[in-house]
Amino acid sequence: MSTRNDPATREALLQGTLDLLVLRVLALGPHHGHGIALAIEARSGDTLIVDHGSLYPALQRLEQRGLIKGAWGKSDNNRRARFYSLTVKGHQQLTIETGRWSRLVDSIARVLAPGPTPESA
Amino acid sequence: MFGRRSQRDFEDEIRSHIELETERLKAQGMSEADAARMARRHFGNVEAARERFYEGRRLVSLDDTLRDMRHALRALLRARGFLATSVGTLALAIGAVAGMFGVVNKVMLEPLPYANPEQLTYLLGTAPGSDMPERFDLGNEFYVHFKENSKLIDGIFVFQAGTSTFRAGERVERIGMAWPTNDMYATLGVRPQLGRLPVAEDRDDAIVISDQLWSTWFGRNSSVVGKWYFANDSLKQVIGVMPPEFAFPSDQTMMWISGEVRAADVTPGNLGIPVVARVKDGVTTERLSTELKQLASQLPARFGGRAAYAKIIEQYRPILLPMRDGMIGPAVRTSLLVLLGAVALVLLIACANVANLFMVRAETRRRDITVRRAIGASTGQLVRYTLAESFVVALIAGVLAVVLSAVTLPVFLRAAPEGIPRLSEVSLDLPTVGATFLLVIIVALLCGAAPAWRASSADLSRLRESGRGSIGGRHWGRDVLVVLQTALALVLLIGSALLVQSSRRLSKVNPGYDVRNIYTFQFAPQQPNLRDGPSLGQMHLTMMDRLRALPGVSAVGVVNNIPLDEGTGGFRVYTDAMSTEGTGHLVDLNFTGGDYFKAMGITLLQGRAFTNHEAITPNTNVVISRSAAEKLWPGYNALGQRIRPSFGGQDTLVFTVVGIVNDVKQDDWRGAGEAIIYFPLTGPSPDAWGMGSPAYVVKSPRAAVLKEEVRQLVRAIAPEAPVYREYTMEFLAQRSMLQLSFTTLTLGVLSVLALLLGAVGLYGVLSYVVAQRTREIGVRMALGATANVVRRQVVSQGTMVVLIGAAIGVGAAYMTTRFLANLLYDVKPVDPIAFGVTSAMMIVIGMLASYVPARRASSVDPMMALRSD
Repeated sequence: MSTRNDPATREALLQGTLDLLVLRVLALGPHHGHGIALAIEARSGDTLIVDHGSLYPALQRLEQRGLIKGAWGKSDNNRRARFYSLTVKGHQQLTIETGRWSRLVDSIARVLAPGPTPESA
Repeated sequence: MFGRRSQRDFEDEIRSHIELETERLKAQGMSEADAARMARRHFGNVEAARERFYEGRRLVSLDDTLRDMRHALRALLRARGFLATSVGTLALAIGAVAGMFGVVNKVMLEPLPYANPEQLTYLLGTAPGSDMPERFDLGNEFYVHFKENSKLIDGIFVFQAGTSTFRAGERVERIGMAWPTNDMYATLGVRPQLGRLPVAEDRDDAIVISDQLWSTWFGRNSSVVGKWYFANDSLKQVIGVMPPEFAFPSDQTMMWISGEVRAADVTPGNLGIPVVARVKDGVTTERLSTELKQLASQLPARFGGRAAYAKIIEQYRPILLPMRDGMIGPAVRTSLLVLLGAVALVLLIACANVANLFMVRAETRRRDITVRRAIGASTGQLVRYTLAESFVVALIAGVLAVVLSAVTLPVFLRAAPEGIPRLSEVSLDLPTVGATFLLVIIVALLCGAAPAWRASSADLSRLRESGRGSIGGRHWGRDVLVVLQTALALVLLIGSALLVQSSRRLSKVNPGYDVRNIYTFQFAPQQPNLRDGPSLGQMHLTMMDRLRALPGVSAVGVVNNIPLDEGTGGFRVYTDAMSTEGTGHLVDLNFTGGDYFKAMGITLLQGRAFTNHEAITPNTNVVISRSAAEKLWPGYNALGQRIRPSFGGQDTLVFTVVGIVNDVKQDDWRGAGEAIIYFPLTGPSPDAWGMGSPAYVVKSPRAAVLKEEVRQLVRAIAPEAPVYREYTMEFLAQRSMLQLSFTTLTLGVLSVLALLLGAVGLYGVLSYVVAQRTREIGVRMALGATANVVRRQVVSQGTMVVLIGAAIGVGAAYMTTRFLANLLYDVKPVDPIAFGVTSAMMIVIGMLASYVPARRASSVDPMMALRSD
C-alpha cells in the first residue's frame, strides 16, 4: 500500500517553490514531466506532493523564461515523452534561487529559535 | 525556436504524463481501469491546465479576440444607453463621411474613364492687360495650328456643347448634344460599344449616341445603328453607341455630332471654343506652354484677323488645365472639399464624444478593472478587453453607417446642384464601403485608445477606494476632448454662418428684374416657311398674341438669352469715335421682341423699347443697358448714338441707340450688372439672323401653372416643335444659387450636428464630474455653501472649458475660412459678425449644457451625500 494518499504525513508545496524544485531536479539531468514529479516526491522522502496539474504550466513558464528547454524523446519504458533539461541561464537561476531560499530558511529558523529577542543596535 | 508550442503539442505531453502515471500505478498492482482513473485524478483538472497553457502564450490568438468581442458585446448589451448613444453618434458621423467620400471619390479622385487621363489637358488662355476674361477658351485657329505644328502633343480636339432638337418617330425633345471634331475619340482614347466612329466623309450627318439615350429612346435595340433621325438641324444617321461610362463633356450629353474643322473655314478671333489636348509622356507644363505660346504668335500671320485680335495674341499666355479640373468648376470643388472637411470634423467630434463616453464608462468600471488586474490580468489583456468594447461599438456603427449612407446618399444626390460631373455615377461602391470600414478601425483605435491606456495604468491601490471618490480630481483628458469638440464645432458653425450670411445677402440682391410671377419657356419650330427674320418674327408675334389672350397674363415678350439660364455671348463694338484698328469694347449680346422689358420689370431709362413692327421688318435699331451706355459713351447721352458691332465677320453695319434700359444681372447675381446690347428680332436685312427659338417671358400671377396651357398653344402653332426650358423665374433664381444654398444647407446641418454633439459632450463631462464630487459638494453645503455658489462653481468650470475651446475655434476658423472664399458673397472670410455671433452662441450653449448638471449639484442633499459611502 502506497503512502501517497495519506494526507496526514504529506505536505503540499509552499507557494512559489515549485520552480526552484524543478530547476534542482533538472540540474541532475534531463527528465520528462512525470519523472520530475516523481523525483521531487522521492527526494523529499515522499513528504511533498506535486500537483501534476500545476506542474506543466510551471514547465511552460520556465521554458518561456529560457531557464529550461524541452524536446520530445523516448522514456525508459519506451514511451514518447517530452524531456526537459536545464539551460545555462537555468543553472544561474538555480544558484540564485537556492541562495535566496537558504537565507529565507535561516531567517525563519532564527525567528523560530527559542530565546529572547536580541536588542537592536 | 521552441518559443511557441501548439496546443496539440501540449496535449500530447499531458497524455504522455497520464500514460506514464498509469503504468506506474499498474506496476504497484492497480487494475488498468483504476490506474487510469487515479492518474487522471492525480493530474487534477486537465481542462484547467490546458487553459493555463492557453493564457500563458504571448501571441493573441483569434480565439482570444473573438472571446473578448463576445464579452464586450455582452457587457455592452447590459449598458444599453451607452451602447445606443455611442453607436448612434458614430453611425451618423461615419455614414456622413462615407457618403461624402463616395461623392468626392467619384467626382474628384477616381481616374476619368479615358486612356491615360492624366495626359489630357484643357488648353486655355489668359491675356493680362486686355479686356479678355481672366481665363478664356481658345478658338478653331488655335486647334488647327497646334494640331499641325505641335511636337509635344499627341492628339487635340475642339468641341461645343448645348441642347438641340432630337426627333425619333413621334417623340421629339430637346436634349444635350455635343459638336466635337472627329479626333475627340482618338484623343480621349475611347471606342463605341456598338457601331463605328465618325470619319471625315460623314461631314456633319452622322451621330454617335450615348448609352443612356440608347436605353431610354431605343430600348437598347442594336438595329438603331444605321437609321436616320432628325437631330439639331437635319436628318442624321446613327453610326455608333458609346459605352455607359462615357459622358463628355457632361452627364447631360446624349449625342455627339460628327464634324471637322478645316483651316480654310476658320474665322480668327472667334474665341470661346474649348480645346482639349493629349500631352506626350514626359512633357512638362513649362515646355508645352513655351511651345504653344510660340506657335500662337504665328496665328495672325497665318489666319489674318483684325488688329484687336493681333493684340490679344500678343498678350496671350497659355493656361493648361488638367482635364478633371476643367470639368469641375472651382465652386463645385470648393463645396465638395468643404463638405468633406466638415463631415471629417463631425466625425472627429463624434469620436471625441464616444471616447469621452468610454472614459466615463471606464471610470465607473475602475473597480472591475482593478479587480481583474489584481487577480492577474496582464496589461495586454486589459487593453485588449477595453479595445474590444470600442471595436464592437465601431463595428455595429460601421454596419449601420453603410445602411444609413445607402439610404441617404440618393437623397443627397437629388438635392445636389446640376453640373457636377459624374455625380450620376455615384453610388455606394466597394471603395466607399471599404473606406467606411477602414474608418471604423481607425475610430475604434481612437475611441479605445484613451480608456485602454487608463485601464493599463490601473493602480492596485485604487482597490481601496470606494466606488465614488470623495474628491473629484480634474480629468484633463476629458477636458481636452471637450475643448477640441467646442473648437471644431465652432469652426463649422462659423463656416456655415458665413455661408448663411452670403445666401441672405445674395437673395436680397436687386438683379434689375422681377422674379415673381414670370413664366418662361422655349420651343423650336422646324417649318419650311419659317426661313428668315421677318417670317420668324411674324410667328413669334402671333404666338405672343395668343399667350396674351390667356387669362391673367399681363405682358409677354421674347429674348434670346433669358437671365440665369443659358448665359450670353460677348462681341466687340466700335463707336463712331473708335478706329477699327483698336480693340473696341467687349459687350454682351442679346435679341429681344414684344414687351420683354415690361414683362421682366426691367426699367426703361430713356428712349423706347422695340415696336412690334421692328420685329418683322429689317431695321438697325438697338436698345442698350446703362452700363453699356457708360462704357461706350462715358459722360455723354447715349440716345441716338451709333455703334458698329463686329460679328459675322463684318464691322461696317451701323446701328442706332433708340433706348436705354436698366442693367440686369444676366448670368449670376454675384456679378455686376452687365453691359448688354439688345438687337431686334429682325436685323438689318431679312436674312441677317433668324431668331428661331428665343425664350418667351410671360408675366402672370398664374406663372407656376401655365405649363399645360402653353404647351397646347405651341402644339397648335408648331406641332413639330419640342417645348423645353419651361421654368418660373423664381425657379431660375433659386437654381442660380443652388451651389451656395446646397452647401449652406449641408454645412448648416453638419454644424448643428456638431454643436449638439459638442453640447452633449460637455454635458456628459460635467454630469460625471458632479456625480464624482457629490460627497465634496455635500460637505460644502453642510458647511454652509448656498445652492447658488455650488451652481456657479459647476457652470464656471464648464464655461472655462468652453471659453478655451471657443478661443481655439476662432483661431482655427480665422485660418481656414478663406477656403470658402469661392462660395462667399459680400461677406469677408473673417467677417466679425459671423465670428462674434457664433462664438457667443457656442458659449451660451456651453453654459446651458453646464447648467443642468449644475442644478443637479446644487440639489445635492448633504445628508444623503455624506452617507452615500
